[in-house]
Amino acid sequence: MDKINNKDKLEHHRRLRLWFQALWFAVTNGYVRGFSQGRIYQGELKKLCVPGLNCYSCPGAYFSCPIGSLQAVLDSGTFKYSLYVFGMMTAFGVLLGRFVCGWLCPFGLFQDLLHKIPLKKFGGKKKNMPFHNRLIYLKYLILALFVIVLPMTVKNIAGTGDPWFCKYICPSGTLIAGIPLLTLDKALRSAVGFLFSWKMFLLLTVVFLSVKYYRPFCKYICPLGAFYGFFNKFAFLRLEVDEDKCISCGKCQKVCGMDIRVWENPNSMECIRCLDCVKSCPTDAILSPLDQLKNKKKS
Amino acid sequence: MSRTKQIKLLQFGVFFTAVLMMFFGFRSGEADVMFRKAIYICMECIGLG
Repeated sequence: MDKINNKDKLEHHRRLRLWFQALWFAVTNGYVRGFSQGRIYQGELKKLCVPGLNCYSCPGAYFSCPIGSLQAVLDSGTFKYSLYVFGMMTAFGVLLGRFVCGWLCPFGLFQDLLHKIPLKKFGGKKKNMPFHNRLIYLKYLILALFVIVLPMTVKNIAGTGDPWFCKYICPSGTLIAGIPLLTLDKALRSAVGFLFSWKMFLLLTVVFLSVKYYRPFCKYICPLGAFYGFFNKFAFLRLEVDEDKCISCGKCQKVCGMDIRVWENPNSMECIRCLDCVKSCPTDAILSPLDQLKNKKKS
Repeated sequence: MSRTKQIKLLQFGVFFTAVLMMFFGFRSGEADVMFRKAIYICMECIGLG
């Protein structure tokens, strides 16, 4: 009976998280005129970033993308470093850590939905890709090289550079900005070339991989997840394990899509704070931020 | 100092520093540079170079 109840609790929680992510996307990308007229929002809200990887060229986006904005400042030729955008990302990081990935990122939502597609062939579903333990470091290299070093250092004659991650890698931009805008605007469609084909190839690769593996982009590629991961150990939103209650059964790792040994490392840099482990723990040993607050109030 | 207090100090210290960075960055015109990029279609982002 307990097993059934725990399973129901977990399924209910997963559905709730999906709906929360969808609602957040709808609210932050609710500029409907953008979708109907093939344009983007140009209001003052674009001086602020949303926490997730949400391209500012999405027709519905009210806010800016932190990674895109950081590159825009670093490649502008005006600033040697960023304070405003970097400060905003740091504030998100210390407040939320990778909670952003689990609850507030549109591309995270996209991968979660793709992973729901059934797969019986090709070896079925797996959590991790081959060479997982080495691949997880790739996102830090992408953060350092494509988001910081290359935009800062590779400049043209005018003294400006390119947003290397946005231009050559980001599948979120392709999905929520490129595809809608090119669908709506004939003039833009006529400019499609090799670069768009390359980005579509990357997007489709992530799509197929996401059906088989859990959140491959978040695990191996996303520079924003890499950045927020540094804050997981000390962010305001953290997990705690009550060692008196924990029986080291490993149930938390079993349900964890990021494959974390939660009872040993509840604030791993890989944890996206989906809280599936909290909902599935048979002894309620894993404490979510809300549980910690309730315990503090009781004591 | 206990670990909990150390973490609390780090949290508030980093948050305060982030807010200061945002303040000085905003004053230096960084938000305007970001805004100018964000209100026009980013050709690189949509795959048109």
